[in-house]
Amino acid sequence: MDGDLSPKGEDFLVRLVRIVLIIGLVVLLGVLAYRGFAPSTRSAADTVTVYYSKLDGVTLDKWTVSLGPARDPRSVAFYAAVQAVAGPPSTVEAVRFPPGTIVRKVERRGTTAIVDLSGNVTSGVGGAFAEAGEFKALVWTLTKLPGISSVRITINGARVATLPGGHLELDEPLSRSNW
Amino acid sequence: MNHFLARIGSAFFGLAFCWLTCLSPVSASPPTPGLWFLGSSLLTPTAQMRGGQLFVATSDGGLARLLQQTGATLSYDPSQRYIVVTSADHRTITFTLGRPQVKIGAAQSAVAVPPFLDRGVAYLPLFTLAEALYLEAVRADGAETVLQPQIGAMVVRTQGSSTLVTLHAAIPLTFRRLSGAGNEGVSLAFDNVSSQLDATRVIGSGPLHEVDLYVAGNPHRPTTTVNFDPHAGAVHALALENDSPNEVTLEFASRGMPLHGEPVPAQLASRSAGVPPPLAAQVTIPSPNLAMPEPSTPENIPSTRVTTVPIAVATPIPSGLPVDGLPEPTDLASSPSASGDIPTPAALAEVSAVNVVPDDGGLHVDVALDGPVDFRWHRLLDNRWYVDLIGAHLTISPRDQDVNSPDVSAVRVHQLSTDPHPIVRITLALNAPREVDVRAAKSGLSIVVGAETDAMSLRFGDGRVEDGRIVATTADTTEFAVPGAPSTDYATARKSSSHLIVIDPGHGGSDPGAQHNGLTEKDLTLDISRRIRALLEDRGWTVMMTRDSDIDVVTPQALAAARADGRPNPDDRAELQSRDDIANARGARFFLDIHINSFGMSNLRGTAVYYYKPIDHAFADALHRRLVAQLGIPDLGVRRDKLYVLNHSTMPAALVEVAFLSNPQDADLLRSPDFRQRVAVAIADGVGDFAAAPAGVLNTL
Repeated sequence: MDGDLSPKGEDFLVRLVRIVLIIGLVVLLGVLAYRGFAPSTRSAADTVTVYYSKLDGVTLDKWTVSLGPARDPRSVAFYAAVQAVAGPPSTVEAVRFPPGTIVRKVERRGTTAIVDLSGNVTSGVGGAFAEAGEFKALVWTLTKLPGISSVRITINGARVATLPGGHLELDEPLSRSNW
Repeated sequence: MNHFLARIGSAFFGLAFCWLTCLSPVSASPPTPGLWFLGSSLLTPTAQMRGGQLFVATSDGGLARLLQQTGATLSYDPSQRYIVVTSADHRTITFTLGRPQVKIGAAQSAVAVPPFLDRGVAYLPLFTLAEALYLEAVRADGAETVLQPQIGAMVVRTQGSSTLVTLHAAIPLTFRRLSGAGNEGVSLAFDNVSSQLDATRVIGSGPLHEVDLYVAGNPHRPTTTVNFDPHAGAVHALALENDSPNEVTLEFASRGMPLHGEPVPAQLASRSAGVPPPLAAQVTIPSPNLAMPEPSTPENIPSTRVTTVPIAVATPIPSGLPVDGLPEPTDLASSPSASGDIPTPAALAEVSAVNVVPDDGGLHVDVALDGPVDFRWHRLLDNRWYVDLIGAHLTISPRDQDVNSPDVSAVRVHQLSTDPHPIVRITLALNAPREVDVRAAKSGLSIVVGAETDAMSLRFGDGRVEDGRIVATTADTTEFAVPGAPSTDYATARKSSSHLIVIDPGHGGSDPGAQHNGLTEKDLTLDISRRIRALLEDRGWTVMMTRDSDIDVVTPQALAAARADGRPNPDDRAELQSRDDIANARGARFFLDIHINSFGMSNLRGTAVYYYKPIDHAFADALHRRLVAQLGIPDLGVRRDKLYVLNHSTMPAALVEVAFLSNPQDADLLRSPDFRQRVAVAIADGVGDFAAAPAGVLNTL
């Protein structure tokens, strides 16, 4: 019959379908590979949770702070530590670090965050009450981050055994279970 | 392939462009002349112009002085991209290297040229930072630019029947009262600060009708007058809540309603940062609600800055963004705290099932949790073992279940404490001393009862279970004993026939401790300790004090040894360890540390007792019960804290913070010999209670 496709025509169609399928498969694999390997915007948290101690010195409350673009774990830990030391806005009553206390550096060693604070932290007038409130909030903030379970405090780059007022022991890393 | 190559080429070109625009060194230009701040020329030796913007290095001495005078701090770790400045009113101003944005509190806005690195030094846009710190760059005569301190935000909020108005400024606020003392309204003149807030702010409802601002003077010496116009019959006071000297808060209430502050003085002199106003009076601890951040409502959003004085080098922050956004309304409003239904942070998980599952080798107890939880476990001498799930709520009924097992006779599950510190306790009554392990399980955690172990070893440990794994475990197999100290354990302590009690009067010698209200902590602790000693000796105890005069306790030999051992902070460590050593070396039955508390805000008062080790807890409880009952001052409870002397003593130890030296009312009490004697009697009674109590008092599960 004239209308019938010759074997040659059938081969051509089959080949065409195969090529289209292969191209489609390649495109699909490409898309999947791209989605798999491209940095996911959802993989990094948009916010960090920051804790502060209320004026009873025991109860913690929290607020969330959105992150900038620097979302590598160490930058996030640094940012969270700075926020915890800054404390909530001034209209919120909180146990606060002594004025002028700054976070000089944050490093991560395993599951421990090493937070280096300026010497102002030892200038506070508080005793055990203030020290517990300050450091509990900092430890809870940092251990809220994935992979951090304890916090070692150094002051002006040096390890310290204790603080001068209430004698909170800082020689070993602090964790949530300290309080 | 061509496309791929094109993409690689584009990426390379983009990187090269970024390097050229952002990271390449910029030839330093001389500092901009005529930058004036607070009465003197502001020298910024590292200043650079880039893209019409003035940049200064984070290490610049002029920038450091500016930050110091505004009460701000700068945190920058060169290995990271964030540069964070914290203002005196606790807003964080965040720059990111290479990123043309600045984040002030919760608000983000653009900057024309991003912060950059030059030869490893980070540079910030000075005028963007200045504006965020409420410093306005204004042109004076000639080429001079003045960084003029501003009253940059006015926050109005309602608290009960009162209206509170807080002014936030770039520098510590001082004022002169222009109106008469008895006037319903009040006018205050703030020298050396200007303002570009709205001239009139109508408050409307509540006791305050409106607030008007007027600016006079010249760019170098401005004065802002603020006129508070209340409704008829309203009363006002200077609120005592500000912990930053850069803020002043006035409280207004309708006649007959209570005010919490003090009459507005004729003038308010300068205050140092972090110290409460000199007019601070005794007030009660605010209720938790008062501490809550206010939600972002029209009443508490500060007025928008309407204009800025445009100058060539200033980076304008786009209008409409809440640059005055105190107190970070977006961030806080998004927090559950602001909505009032806050789970306390401790409330992390719910315990929805506890199943006792026999297995081949013995038995395990599966605990279903819906979130991460910290746990702390203890094994007692009577073969009871328990784990506290800290911050957990029990959503099933408590139970006390007999178990037909050769290893365990009963399992008890109950809510040990509720909010704000919820703890679920699971107790196993073991038939024999056995190892018990806490492991992560798919549904939460699993308590696995294993092989027999040493009967007399008291063990404790802690950790955290999260996402099906134990992410932190400390001391999980540690014998309860302090390394380097005489070995003892709970049994020794409990069965001790020692009649020796060591009392440590906190601080002393070169360390005065806290000093407030004309009193010094080391003197008070010594006096109270001597009184306790007299009472205890009358009751048949042998008492040793770590010091009986105003001296450092550490001996020169111990100090030298500590300095030679290479461990950090030897002086403090040696001083504190010496106090523990006195008790440890003599096998004292109890160690009692006496301290006086203090705090930056004078309104806090009360007594607290601290413990750390498990064997301290009941001792601290016994002291606390007597102190609260016999002193009648606010009760701050029994608190766990890793204080050095508690951690390094080997017997039941407690640290008593008798009262707050920083609180005028507590200070008056501490001044009284009668009160100090009552403190001593309460503590001696507590010691007696604990010593006489049967073991059940210690292990009330």
